Amino acid sequence: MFINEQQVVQLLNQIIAANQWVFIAALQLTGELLWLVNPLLFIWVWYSGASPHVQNTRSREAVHANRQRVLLAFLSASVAFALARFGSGLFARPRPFVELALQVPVSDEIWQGIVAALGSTGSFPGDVAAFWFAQAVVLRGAGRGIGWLTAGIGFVFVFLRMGLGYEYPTDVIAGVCLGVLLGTAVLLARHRLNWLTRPVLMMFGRFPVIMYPLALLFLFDITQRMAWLFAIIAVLLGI
Amino acid sequence: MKRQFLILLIFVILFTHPQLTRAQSSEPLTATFADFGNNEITLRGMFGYGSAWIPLQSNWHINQPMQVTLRYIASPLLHPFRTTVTVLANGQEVASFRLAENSSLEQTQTFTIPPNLLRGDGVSLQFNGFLRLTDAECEETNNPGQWLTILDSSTITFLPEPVTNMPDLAELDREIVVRNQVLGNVPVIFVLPDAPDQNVLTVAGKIAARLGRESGSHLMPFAVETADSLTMTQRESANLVVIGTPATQPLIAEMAAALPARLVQDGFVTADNRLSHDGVIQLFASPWNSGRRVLLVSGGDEDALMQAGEVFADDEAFQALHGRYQFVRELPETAVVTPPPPWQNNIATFAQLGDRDRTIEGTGIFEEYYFFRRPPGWIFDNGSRLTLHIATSPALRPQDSYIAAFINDIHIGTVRVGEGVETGDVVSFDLPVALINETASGARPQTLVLRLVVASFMAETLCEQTHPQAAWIRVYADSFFEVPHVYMGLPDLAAFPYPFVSDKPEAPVSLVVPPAPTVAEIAQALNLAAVLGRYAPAEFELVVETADTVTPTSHSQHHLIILGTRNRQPLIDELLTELSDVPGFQEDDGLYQALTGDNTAVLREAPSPWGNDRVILLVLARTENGAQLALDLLYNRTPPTEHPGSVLLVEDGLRAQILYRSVEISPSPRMNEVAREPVVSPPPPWVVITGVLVLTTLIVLGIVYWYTRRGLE
Repeated sequence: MFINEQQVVQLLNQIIAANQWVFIAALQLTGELLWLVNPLLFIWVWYSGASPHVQNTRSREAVHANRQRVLLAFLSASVAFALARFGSGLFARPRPFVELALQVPVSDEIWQGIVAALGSTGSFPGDVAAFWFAQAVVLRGAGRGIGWLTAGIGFVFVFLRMGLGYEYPTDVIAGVCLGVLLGTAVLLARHRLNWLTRPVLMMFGRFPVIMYPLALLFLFDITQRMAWLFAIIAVLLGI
Repeated sequence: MKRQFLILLIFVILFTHPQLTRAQSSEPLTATFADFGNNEITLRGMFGYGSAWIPLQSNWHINQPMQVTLRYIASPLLHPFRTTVTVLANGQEVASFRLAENSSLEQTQTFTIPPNLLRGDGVSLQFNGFLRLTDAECEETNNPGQWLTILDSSTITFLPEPVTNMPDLAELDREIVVRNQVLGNVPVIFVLPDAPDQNVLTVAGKIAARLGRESGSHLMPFAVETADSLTMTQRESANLVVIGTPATQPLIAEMAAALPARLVQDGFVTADNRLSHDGVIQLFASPWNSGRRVLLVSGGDEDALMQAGEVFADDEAFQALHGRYQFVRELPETAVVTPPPPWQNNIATFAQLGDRDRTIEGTGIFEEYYFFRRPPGWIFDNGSRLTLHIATSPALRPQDSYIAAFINDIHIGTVRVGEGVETGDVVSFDLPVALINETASGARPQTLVLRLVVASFMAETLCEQTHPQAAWIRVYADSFFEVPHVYMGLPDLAAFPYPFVSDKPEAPVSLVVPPAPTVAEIAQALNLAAVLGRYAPAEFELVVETADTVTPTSHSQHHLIILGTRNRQPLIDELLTELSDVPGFQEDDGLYQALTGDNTAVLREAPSPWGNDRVILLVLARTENGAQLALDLLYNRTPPTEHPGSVLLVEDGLRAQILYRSVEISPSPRMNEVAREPVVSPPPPWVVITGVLVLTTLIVLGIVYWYTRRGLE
């Protein structure tokens, strides 16, 4: 007996919607919180290995490698996210909450707001899955634990999103594959990307007063789903 | 004054027929919505919408306001002070009302429609609801509790007056066959000379066929009288078609004072005051009732009369008729520009089939019905298509807005519509011809009932009021059928009226009545001529003649329809002896054994024994009633059967029954060559792309893992 992906979404929805507070927590986690966790991860990896007490060549190289991975992770995740968004516009697959009868134990006002925000975009491929798994692959080089932690957080988010009716399993699988492929590609090409990462890291060393506030702005933009970044790119490309 | 009028209305309603009050002149008529063919109308959703069509008889003129008394029930959950219903008559707002308290019980609401809106073929009543459950600012728009039903017992009261304008030959068919005869019956009586000869019968047949062709579904059975037998009641109540020369038709002299072209001896006076013996067609108000019409088809002699009759058989000549009278010689010789008939080059637009652009407004799921007929004898072939030309509102939400098309309840396709859906304005559906040509029960329906299920939904954000008319879908009348076709095998009563009328050049059709026919037998022939005319896709040659003029030699190239009972129609036995016996009915009495009583008849279609590729249709009955029963079936239900067969038993009150299905019935062998539906439907793109992505990821990770293991990073 086969279970189709609509049934998977409905099953997850039943689990999440069994308790109103679980459902609200899932809404919060996959809402703003999802995008707050990511900057925290980057900051963690950025400073891991750095110590004010130990300043030798080996530790400096380790810190440099970690910071390079943060830049690469940001790059791969941004590209994966943009590609996924492009794909969702191309295929315009209706989200599960449009097509399926789901349980929604929150007020109609809140739910309609979510439907209005997400209903205009397609669900395929999953952009959040692509975003998280692209950086998980890259950050894995900074330590297996960080890589698995990032992937684990990504899994939690995508399951919650399926349960809320945002995405189907095939959307998530496609998003994961897209993220893994892009993360792997960036990881394999990391030496060829030194022309990009080295000057940036050098500037962090020489002009910390300028670069750290700028980095803060980038991190803040991640919490805004990279709205400014995409807007700047769109303006530059004349889209 | 208003109170007196109301009292008069109540008096009329109480003391006359409970459902239908037919008043004489200058008395108001009262009828229910059901009398006009309307069902109950239910408005659903916050912006519920419904409509009713009140046809107006074409010989009425209404100068007084029409009073409408709506009877309705509504959901008890509706908010009485906030719920409103607005009524539009022919697109103009005429009334609005709030819901009464206790609206779950039947309520009434009365309003009037001003006479200036009562023009044209009828009144389109449109009901726009605003059905509120609460007085909150934000409210659901599709709650099942939002409903209001207007009952079909709602009544309409109005005062019709007879049309008094001067009749015009350009409107001949509308003047003679009154349209929309819902409440009254204006009969059409053909008045022939005593002992009409073949010329007069043929002229009458051509006029009947033309009236049938132009009147379509408005057609009512014709009666036939002679000048002597025409009663005064008939003169006053009926529209008359008077045929004959001044020498043979005494009624012409009786009407001389009313004739537009004056009668002088045996001729008529032309507009330039010249005496003419040419064929003439005149249309004028009846001298016995100014609200009735008389069509006179005459001429100085028999030849002139035949000339006048030919005008009715010729499309261009008939369309050239205008004014109160027309001499045949004065008709322009140049061809009149006419719209091309449908089905030429296998194509027919909805407009050619008599339909118009249709707009479906509002949100919800609607059903639009189109009633078409396939040309006589056609079997649709593979490659047949229906192409819809549509336009849709950009406000529609594509996730659940669509148009689904069905023909005779067979699904032929669905298309999603709305903003961003790139289906374009023109959508083509391949027709499943095998299913449309022949149903699972073997029936071959000639009628094509096209049902469009239209789902219109808009994206609604909470608390945002969206005007319901922002949702619309328009189906243009230049949508069309394109149907390669073959023809049904013969003989087959399911193909009737094919081959007697057809889109391809066919042989002349002879309607053969008994010698010295009675008026009832002539009426049967004329009504059958009207049926042939109604369904004829092109001009056809029609002759009405008596049996004594028909011989195998003279009619070897004719299709024949033989009317009359066995004892009055000598051709029946003559032809039966030449036809092969029907299995099961081979004794002396042949098919007459199948007749179970006086009120039964048998219709038999067979290859003509007198000529190749010709067909004869016989009506076999022992009594006049039996023959009339068979003719009524051909008149009221064309074709008389949907199942293939060449011998049909017709019994009073029972469904016609096929007695014999001859072996030569051969539907197109290509009917079975319909491509099979795929066993597994092709997967959607996201499944394919996901599969490709998973495979690619596994391969890439495998390669990376292999290189890493070998230390070749």
